[in-house]
Amino acid sequence: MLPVYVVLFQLGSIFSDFEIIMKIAGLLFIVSFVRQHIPDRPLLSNVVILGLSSFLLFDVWKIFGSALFLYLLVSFGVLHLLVDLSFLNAFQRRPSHEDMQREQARQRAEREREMEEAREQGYEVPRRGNEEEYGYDGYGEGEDESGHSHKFMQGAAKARQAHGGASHASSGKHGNLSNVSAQMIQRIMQQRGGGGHR
Amino acid sequence: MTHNQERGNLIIGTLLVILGLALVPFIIKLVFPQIDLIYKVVLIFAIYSFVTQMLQNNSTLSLLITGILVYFMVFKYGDIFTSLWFLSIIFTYVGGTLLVTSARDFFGFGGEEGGHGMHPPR
Repeated sequence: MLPVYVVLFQLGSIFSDFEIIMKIAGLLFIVSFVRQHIPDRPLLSNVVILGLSSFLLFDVWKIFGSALFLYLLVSFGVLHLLVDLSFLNAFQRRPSHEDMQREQARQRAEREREMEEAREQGYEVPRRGNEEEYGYDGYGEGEDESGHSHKFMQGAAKARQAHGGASHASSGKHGNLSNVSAQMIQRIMQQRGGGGHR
Repeated sequence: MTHNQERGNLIIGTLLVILGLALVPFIIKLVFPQIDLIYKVVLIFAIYSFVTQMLQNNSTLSLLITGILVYFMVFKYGDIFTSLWFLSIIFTYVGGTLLVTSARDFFGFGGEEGGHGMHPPR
């Protein structure tokens, strides 16, 4: 146990010595600051230096010492290092093939989940393998900003015409195809937080 | 390997590069022991110029404070402050960019493609 005590004692003395060095550096910063701002009145500047030193170096030394340490680190350019780390990580990274595949799979799963929810709520939604009738393949090609497929809209219009127009045959339990698709799209947009059709 | 792991690797790599740079003065001292004297003289001049610049005059007080700082920073913990002085020069003049890019591109920390790749999907 004795070597451990010796090491801890030496570490403690190192920290206390570093604290003395930091206090002297803090005193120098205070002197420089005060003399820079009160250059013409030596007596007043000495009084201000004494007051500031006794307050900052003894009363609130824990806060002032931490701030001084951070200031020294920043002035030595350590902040540069953090900025470089974040920039190199966030902005200079190119997408790899695996990342793109994972992103596509995630979008596909999300879209199928939304379709499944709409189907459970009673809307008529094309299933995979049956999407030729509606011209929708379910994979987001030609999507607009809200994620809805132009191809799907065109296919729905085509199907509407094939069934005899919007006011004709009902194709779901909630009404005709145009109402169903409009309600479904509105619901999806509400779920995504984009509001409904206005 | 996830994005966070890559970033963690890059941070660890940068810290290792900094640690390696801090060891450079020791290695030079092992090869040329006489350079220790030069380190000490340079540190004393740096401390003296810092103190006189801060006190804005050259008086007995500046000599006293310089003496205290020289005792601690040059003679008692000379090796530590030599490394810190070396690192401060590198950070000031070269910048941290070289350290981070060397950790990534030269030593290969931060992912297989050198840390490239977009943010992975949620």
